[in-house]
Order: sequence, then structure tokens, then C-alpha cells
Amino acid sequence: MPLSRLLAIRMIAVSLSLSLLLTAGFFIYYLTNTARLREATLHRNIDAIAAALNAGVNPATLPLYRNHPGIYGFRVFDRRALATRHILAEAYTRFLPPVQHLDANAGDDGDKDRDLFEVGSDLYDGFQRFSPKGVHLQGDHVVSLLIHRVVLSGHKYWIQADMIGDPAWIGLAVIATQLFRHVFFPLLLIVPALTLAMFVATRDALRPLRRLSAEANEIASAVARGQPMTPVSNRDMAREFAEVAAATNAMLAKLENSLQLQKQFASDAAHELRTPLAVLLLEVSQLPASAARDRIKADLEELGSLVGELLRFAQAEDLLSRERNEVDVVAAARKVCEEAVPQAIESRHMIEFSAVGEPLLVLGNATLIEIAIRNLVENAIKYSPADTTISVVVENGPSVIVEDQGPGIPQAQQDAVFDRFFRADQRQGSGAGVGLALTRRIAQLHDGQILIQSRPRGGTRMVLSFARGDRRRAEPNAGADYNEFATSLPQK
Amino acid sequence: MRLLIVEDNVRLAQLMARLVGENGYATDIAASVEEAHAAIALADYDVILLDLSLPDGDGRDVLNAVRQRQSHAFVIVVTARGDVVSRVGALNAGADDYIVKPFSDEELIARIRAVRRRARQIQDEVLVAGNVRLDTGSLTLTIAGRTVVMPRRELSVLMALLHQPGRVLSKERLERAIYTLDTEVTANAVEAAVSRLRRRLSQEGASVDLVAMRGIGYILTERA
Repeated sequence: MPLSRLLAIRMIAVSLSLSLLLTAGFFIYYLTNTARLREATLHRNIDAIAAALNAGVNPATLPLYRNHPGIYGFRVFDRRALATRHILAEAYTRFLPPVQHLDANAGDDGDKDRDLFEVGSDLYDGFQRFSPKGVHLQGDHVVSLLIHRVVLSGHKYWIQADMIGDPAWIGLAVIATQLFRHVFFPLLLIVPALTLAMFVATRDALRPLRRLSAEANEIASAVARGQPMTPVSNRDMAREFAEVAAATNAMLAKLENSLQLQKQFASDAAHELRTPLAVLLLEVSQLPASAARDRIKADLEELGSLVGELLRFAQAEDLLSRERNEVDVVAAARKVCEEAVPQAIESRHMIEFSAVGEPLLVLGNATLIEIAIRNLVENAIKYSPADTTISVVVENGPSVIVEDQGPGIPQAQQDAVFDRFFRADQRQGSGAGVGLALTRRIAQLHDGQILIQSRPRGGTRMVLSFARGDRRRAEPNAGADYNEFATSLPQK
Repeated sequence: MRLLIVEDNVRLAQLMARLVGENGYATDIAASVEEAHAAIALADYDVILLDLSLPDGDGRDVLNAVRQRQSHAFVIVVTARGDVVSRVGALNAGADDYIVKPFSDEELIARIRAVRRRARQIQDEVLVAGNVRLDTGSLTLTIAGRTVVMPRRELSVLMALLHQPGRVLSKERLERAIYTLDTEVTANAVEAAVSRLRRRLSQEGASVDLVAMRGIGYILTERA
């Protein structure tokens, strides 16, 4: 997952847990602070009453007052003058301070209620909690009372609201509203904006890193094609990324160096082995003729050809970088077949060749392409029984298909045969184990591939295919780039 | 016949000297570029076996010196530097052939003979394979010692094959060989001529086989 998305997701997660924390904080605050909760709840009730009046509904018919008599109460009145006060609506006013002159309007009830309040208690704007004397209350044991002035269609009114406990859980709705107003709403505004900003910023900041990885990939595929490693660029990069690029380049230089050393070593070793092998071979030929002498000679010749293959393996890349041009695969395959005929006759094999009429061009090295095809043909001759036919077909693609009537290659070994020093039959002494590995290497160097197709009636079918010649242009500067690379980087 | 071996590995040089000595050459050994220069200044060699990597320089200097002296020596480059580029380079520089170490005794002798035969063939008109002998001057063919009269077309096919011992001749090349002698060439003229020639060869008890490789060409092989 890209870092920008990862960061955005983390940002969302952090804000989610933050809001959870804030929610918990709200709950704890209100649950330990009942008075504040009650005050906020009564404010909400007053708002609901005002809204009902505005809508022309008698607030006393609201479900809250109908369903919970004796718990929630209210009274709405105007207050122009004490004597002319007029009550608009009310419900359960037992604990509400009286608002009218007792003598004028109140009956027995009024007298009784009047006793509940302290003498001199009068209208006031605000919240208070009190315990009425001589009355046993359920729940809170306390009456919460809020008196608040509202404006309804241009007139000022007073609303008294009280509650004893909160069986309708209005408080929860209050907390929820508060939460939304003070926590979720700001978060909803801020978090997406911040997340987007973070996403865009990280994506932009990481662009050089993406470029680096793209260049590293290019280098990998260039190396697979046998082209030299080019250093990654560190233009327009923040210092951190430029350091990564520099470190990558230093590593590439060392890698290139050690690759060169390795190739040079293989090449030198093969060269050094050749002269002593030549001495041995001639020395052995001086021995009196015997079966043992012939066996040793054959083994030495085998060893010599293995050394040659190792050498070609080590030199394949260099050969390609030295000489790369358009090669006709048909002509190359025909030449290989012609050259293989004496060997085939000696081992009593027939070779068949067929190809499309016109030349099939591949951009590459003729010698390498011939080696690749020759290895396939020689392998077919080596591993198929006498008096059978080896068929070589060149098809559009271009691909060279070599089929034999030998024992075939078991499915399980079909990948392993391309490994260096693999030999299908471990007991059999003949056959160097580098040929197919070299063929695969050469195919890779030409953007091609080699695969084994199993045939229903036995035998092996090897398909060596190349990228078409006109697809990729020759790179005459590749060598020059490489030299600059080698000299511009410090070698430790 | 004199032969010079330019090789810095003493044992290899001695072994090669003994081997070619057994085949009728008088052999000298030079272990460095300097010694090689001295040797070619003193004697006229028929064949020079030349190692390219020598302790005091490049064997190509010796090759150049030989060519500058207008010597007719055949130079066979013998080297451990078996890569193709140096092979082409050596042949371009005037070597007659190229042999990569390690090589068997038969291979070495065969290369020396091949180089000499290639030069001789210009005047030598008799082509031989097994018990088949063809005098290209008089166009007389003898098989197992008996003179055989063969139609011109088959004879020209046989001659083309005998010119390339042990190598494949493509159908196109054979077609051209027939065409130079006969004017009319039909589509399967080559196949017909080859099959008639093959029949004749076996009738006359020739010790060679004419093998056809489909799509590749024809080759004359000596029966073991």
C-alpha cells in the first residue's frame, strides 16, 4: 500500500480514536455533573416548547408531558404586569413557582403549593435546584428548575420548565447534540481536509522515491539483457532521497565491479585451464592404444568443451555489447544444422530443417544466436537414440523449434535443465551441464526465452524465441555510458 | 617439410613437436615472440603453429612478420583465447586456420593436412573419398580400382560433393553445380540425380554413402 494512503488511513484512525476519547469525556463530564446535564436538558425542553408554540401546537400535548406526568413540567406565560399575567400553556406545575397573584386567581391548590417555596421566592431568570420541604420525591430527590425568556412571534414570553429525574433519557439526546456540535462537526470538517492534504503532500514528497524504484527496475531489466548498469539520477531530489540515490549508485558500482571481476575470473580460469588440458590430451595420445586411453581422451575432450562453454558463458554479455546487429535467424539455424550434420552422421542421426521463406531478423549477436541454437541441436543429438530424426524448424516469432525423439524431459526436471551443471542422467558421464543454461542466458540477452513443451508421444520439443529485430533499437552509446559510470564512481 | 611451433608452454610445445614429427615434419620450437622472429629469419617454414598469448608480446606480431616476409608459410593460430572475436581477428590478420586448446592429436594433424590440401587443391585435380577417386581434369571416375562411366549430371553432383569432403552441400549449391554442365534444370533434377548417383555408388561397391538431410542438403560420408 502506498505510504500516502497508509498515512491517510492512519490519520482517519487517529481522529476516530480521538473522537471516541472526546465522547467518553463528554459522558463522564455530564454524568458526574448532573446539575449541568439537567440545565442543558431543561434548555432543550424549553426549546422544544417554544418550537411547539411556534408551530401552533399546545406543548402540553407533547409526548414527554403526556407520558411522564409528575416528572416533567412547564408553564408559559407573559409578564407584562403581575396582575395581567396570562398563562399560555402548562403541564404539571406543582413545583413551579407561582406566577399570578394568589389572592386574585388562585384557589386552594395555590395555597398548598405556595407553602412549598420559601417566602419571597419569586420569578428569576436562570437555573436552580431545590428540595421542596415535606415532599418525598422519586429519582433525583431534587427539582431542577429553569426559567428562561423566549421571543415568540415578536412577543416576549417566559417559560418555566422543571424535571424530577429523567426517565425519558432526554439527557442522552442532549449529550448527543453537544457531542455532534462540539466534537463530530468540527472533526468532520477538519479530518477530511487534513487527510487529503496529507495524502497529497506525502504523494508529492515521495515522487522521487517512485522515480528511484522505476530506475532500479530499469537497471534490473537492462542487466538481464546484458546491458551495463547505469547510475540512477539524483536530480531535483530532497537531500534524504539524494542520499538514497547516491548509496544505490555506490552499491551498483560495487556490484558492477564484482560482476566484472567474477566474469574476468571465469574467463581467466577457463583460459588457464586450456593449456594444461591440451598438454594432458596430447600426453594421453602418446600412450599405447587401449580402451582406457580412448576413454580418458574422450573425457578430456569433454572437459575441454565444458571449459569452452564456461568461457562463452562468461563472455556472452561482452560479446553482445561489442557486436550487435541484425541477424537472420533462418540463416543462423541453417548454418548450425549444416555444421551439425557430420556429428549427426557419426552418431547415426538424421537432421531435418525447415523454415519460412524470408529472413527473420533479430537485433543481436550472430555468434551468440548460433551458439544458442547449436546447444539445442547438439543436446538433441546427444540425448536421442540412434536412427532417429532431429527436426529443426524456424517459425515466425521468430522462434527456433528443435524436436527430438529421445526419452523426453520429465515435467519435474523441466526447469532444472536450464540450471548450470544440471545433467538429466546423473550416472551418465557425457554432456556438459552448461549448454542449456547458456542458451537460456543468450535468449534472455536477446529479450527472448526458451521453453520446453512436452509432447504426447515422447521426445523433447525446445522452443527458443527472440524479440523481433525492429522492435528495439541498437544502443551504440551503451558502452560509453558504462565507462563514464565506472570512472565517475569512487571504487573502494 | 619444416614446421615451427611458437608456444611458451614447454611441455605442450614438445608434445606437439613429437606428434607432428611422427607425421613427417622437421620441427623447431620458439617459446617467445623474439625467438619466433629469429626462427623465421633463419629458416623457411611450410607451416607455423602460433600461440597468440606469449610472455613477451602478442603472437599477432609474428603473424605480421611472416606475411611481410612474403613467406608462403601456412599459419595456424593455436590459442587458449577461444572467443570468436579473436578468432575472426586472427583470420583477418592473415592466419590460415585457427585451433582452440585443448585439441586432440587427430585434430591437430587434420588441421595441418587440411591447410596444406587447400593450397594444393588448386593444382591437384584428383579428388578422393574412400575408394572413390575422381580426376577432375579428365573426368575419369574409379571406384574400388575399376573405372566407372557415369552420366554427366550424376558426375557433376559427385564432383561437387567431393570438393567439400565431410561437409554439407545445400540443394541450391548442387543445383548450381548441375546447371554449369547441363542447361535444363527441372524442379526435382537434384533429387533425381542424387538418387541415381546413390544407386550407382552402391552398385559399384563404393565405400561412401550419400546422405540426404531434409531441408539442409547432402553430404558424402566414408563408411567406417
